[in-house]
Amino acid sequence: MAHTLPPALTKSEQALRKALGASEDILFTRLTLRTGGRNALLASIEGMVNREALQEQVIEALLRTDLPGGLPPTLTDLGRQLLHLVEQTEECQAAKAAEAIFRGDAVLLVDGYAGALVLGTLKWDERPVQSAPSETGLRGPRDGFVERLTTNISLIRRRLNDPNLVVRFFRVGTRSKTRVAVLHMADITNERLVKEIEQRVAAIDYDGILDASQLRELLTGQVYTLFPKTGSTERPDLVVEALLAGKVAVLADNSPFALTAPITLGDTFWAADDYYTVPVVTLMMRLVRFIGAFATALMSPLYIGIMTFNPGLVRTDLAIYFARERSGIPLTPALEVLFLEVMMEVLHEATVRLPTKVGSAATVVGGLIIGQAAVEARLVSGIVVIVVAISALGSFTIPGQEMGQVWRATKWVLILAATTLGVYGVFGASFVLFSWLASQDSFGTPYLAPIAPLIPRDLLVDSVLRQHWSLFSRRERTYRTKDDDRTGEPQLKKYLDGGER
Amino acid sequence: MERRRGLVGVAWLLAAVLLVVTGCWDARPIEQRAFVVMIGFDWDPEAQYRVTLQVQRAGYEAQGSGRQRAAPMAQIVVSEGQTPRKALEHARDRLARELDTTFLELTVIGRTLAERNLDELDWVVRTFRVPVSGYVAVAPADAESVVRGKAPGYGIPAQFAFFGQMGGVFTRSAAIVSGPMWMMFNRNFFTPLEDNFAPVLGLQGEDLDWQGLAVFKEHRLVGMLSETDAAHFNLLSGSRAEMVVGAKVPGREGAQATLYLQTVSVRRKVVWQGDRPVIQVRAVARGDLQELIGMRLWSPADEEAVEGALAGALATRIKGLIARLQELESDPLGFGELARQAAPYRREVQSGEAWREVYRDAPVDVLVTVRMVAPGYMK
Repeated sequence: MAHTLPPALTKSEQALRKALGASEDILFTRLTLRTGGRNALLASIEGMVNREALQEQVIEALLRTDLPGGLPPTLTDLGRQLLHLVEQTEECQAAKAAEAIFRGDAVLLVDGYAGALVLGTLKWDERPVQSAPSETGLRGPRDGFVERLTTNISLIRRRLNDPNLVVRFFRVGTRSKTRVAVLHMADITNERLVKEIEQRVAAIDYDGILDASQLRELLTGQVYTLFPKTGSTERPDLVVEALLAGKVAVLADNSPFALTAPITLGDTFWAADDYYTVPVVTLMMRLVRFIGAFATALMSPLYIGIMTFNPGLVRTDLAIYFARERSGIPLTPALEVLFLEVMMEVLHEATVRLPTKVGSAATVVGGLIIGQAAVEARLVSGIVVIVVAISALGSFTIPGQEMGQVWRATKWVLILAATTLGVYGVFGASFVLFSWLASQDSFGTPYLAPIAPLIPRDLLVDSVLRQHWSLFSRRERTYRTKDDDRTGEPQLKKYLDGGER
Repeated sequence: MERRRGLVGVAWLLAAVLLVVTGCWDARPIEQRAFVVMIGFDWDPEAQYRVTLQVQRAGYEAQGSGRQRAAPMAQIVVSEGQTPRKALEHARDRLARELDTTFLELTVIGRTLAERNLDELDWVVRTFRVPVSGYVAVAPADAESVVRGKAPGYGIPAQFAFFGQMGGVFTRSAAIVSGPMWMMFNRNFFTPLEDNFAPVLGLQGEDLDWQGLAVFKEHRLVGMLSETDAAHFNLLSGSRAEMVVGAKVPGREGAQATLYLQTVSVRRKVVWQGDRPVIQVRAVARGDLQELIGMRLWSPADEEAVEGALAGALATRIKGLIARLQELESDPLGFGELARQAAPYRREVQSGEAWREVYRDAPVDVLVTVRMVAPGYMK
């Protein structure tokens, strides 16, 4: 049963304290109103409220302002007449008032008035808008998302001055009550897609949502999957591009990452730079990323396959060179790869966890000293060091650390196949992998589109080749948008007529 | 349900395919394989077969205070047996590593064995894992000495023979005939009216040297032709045209021309005149005039005279080659097959034996046209 806040301050304070629990970080300030001399209680959480605003616009106003007509009949009227805050709402339930305090608002109880006045004094220390650390680029805007949801939405709004940009808020997490925003373009995005995502957000039943990545798992619901079904970015420009393409964006409070859905496998290879570089260079960079991904997944398995089962796949000179290099190595090719790959993963994990300066030292120690020492000691051959290094470098070409990790994980499956069945095993496992990917979808969009199913027009719009902006006039059919025309009313005529620019 | 059944079917098919292809049971690290890159087969009248293997030697040699890489050397293994297979098995036993013929690039057949019968080596391509890209050569004497031969500039002689020469990548010599192994043992699969041929690989001093063309008759070596003949054989078979042709210019005293042929278009044909087949060769050769001694090209008439002289010289050499082949009763250029195509139901083209009876005396009609692409004057 919900407890209401009665007019008597002692009782309403008691109800509020009960709703707030036993926490000691809640600050209770007792006041006596200058008008009418009534007692009042101001409750807030230290560190979450704007103390200056609270002092100047609430406490001092209550203590010093004398209302000539006496106290007004309702608490709302009292707030309007006495306080200078814009955000103030009246709340009758103790639980709701407590919830507001936990969000960072202040709550005012006045003796003789039922209910409480919730004051929008929210302010906490937050990171300023900086460049996105996980998606650095050479071109394009530098700003990245921060932890505050409203700031993140403002970064999107700044780029998209369109009334069709719809933002809908949800509270997710039975205990954390995290604010989640679902964004879409009303006149572009497929309505069924929006409804589907909003329903899934609303249906999340979990106690705490700490980051958007947690939300992603709960949204897609797939437990046994390696490949992500939603995009994840720290860059507002990429979110805007996704919205304009007909996708839906999901942002969560306290998370600098935005989710975009649906996505295809191809989307995971596109970087922000692609949209700010000439198409030919984009094509080249995207091809390099594909090669990087394949190198990550296939280099080590192919090394094992060729060295152990199918040396005939390389030309004679190379095979003889390999045999010469391998001569005297005590480890089998599979063990060689295993040793170095594990070392590389350990090194990778260590450099991610360590501070930058120490991390670079660890890289030098791991990469140069251990690798060089292993080759010098004839524990592993020089070739396998090159193979594993190329494999590792390949994973760094893929935008977003996450997909690099996915391809690295895929590599282990292929290494197992190569160790047991050689090169045939590698190709057999790759076939199974791509067959499985072909059966997957992201919120109804085939994961391998526009290749499987084949959508020729999309292949020419924004796949390996990013079309020149002047020819990029159609949206991709893959996302089944309401409006696939990216052009609008011609601006030139208005300009020539001396009108709007 | 249907879809599930289909998936199960695909899974079974995949499992079956994986079982028949290589697996754990075929695992052998690359350094434990002895890659045979060149193999020689000899036979002596005492009915002993000798196999000579050129195996790549992998490894390091200790030098000074630390390990330094030695140049890869070829290891030679010789063994004998009552049959070629037994000889090879003995060779296998003597190797410390697993015999692997994945990179067998050149098979050299000793002269005595080639003269005896090529069929005895048929098993090499039938039961032995030999790549289709391998080549065959015939030694002018024994194969062993050729397999032991040196190839300056290359660590492994077989590589010299294969990449440097027969592959045609690093050579402009017109006399090197290409003899793919799959063709050598399958030629009669396409037609019984065509005989085998192979390049002759011998030694000059200790070094490997291509020395002409070996021609076969019914799988037996019947003769070895010179390098000049081999070059014209290449020209007629359309495999290689770059060669130098020299001729004295008739009617111009002391005049001599040299032409570097660049492209040659050849049409070979057999026409029947009564019961006699007539071998016709029509060739149009184009090339650069490289040398002209004793005359100058002042007019088109001079040009025609030079072209006519070169054409005559080329025709004479082609006629000489065909006459030599007719004398040996060997038909590696496939005139018999052309005759069969012209008249499929004639008795003379129903077997190799019947064809050879008319082939040896068939008249030859050769017409060569030479066009100088760069004669050296402005028309």
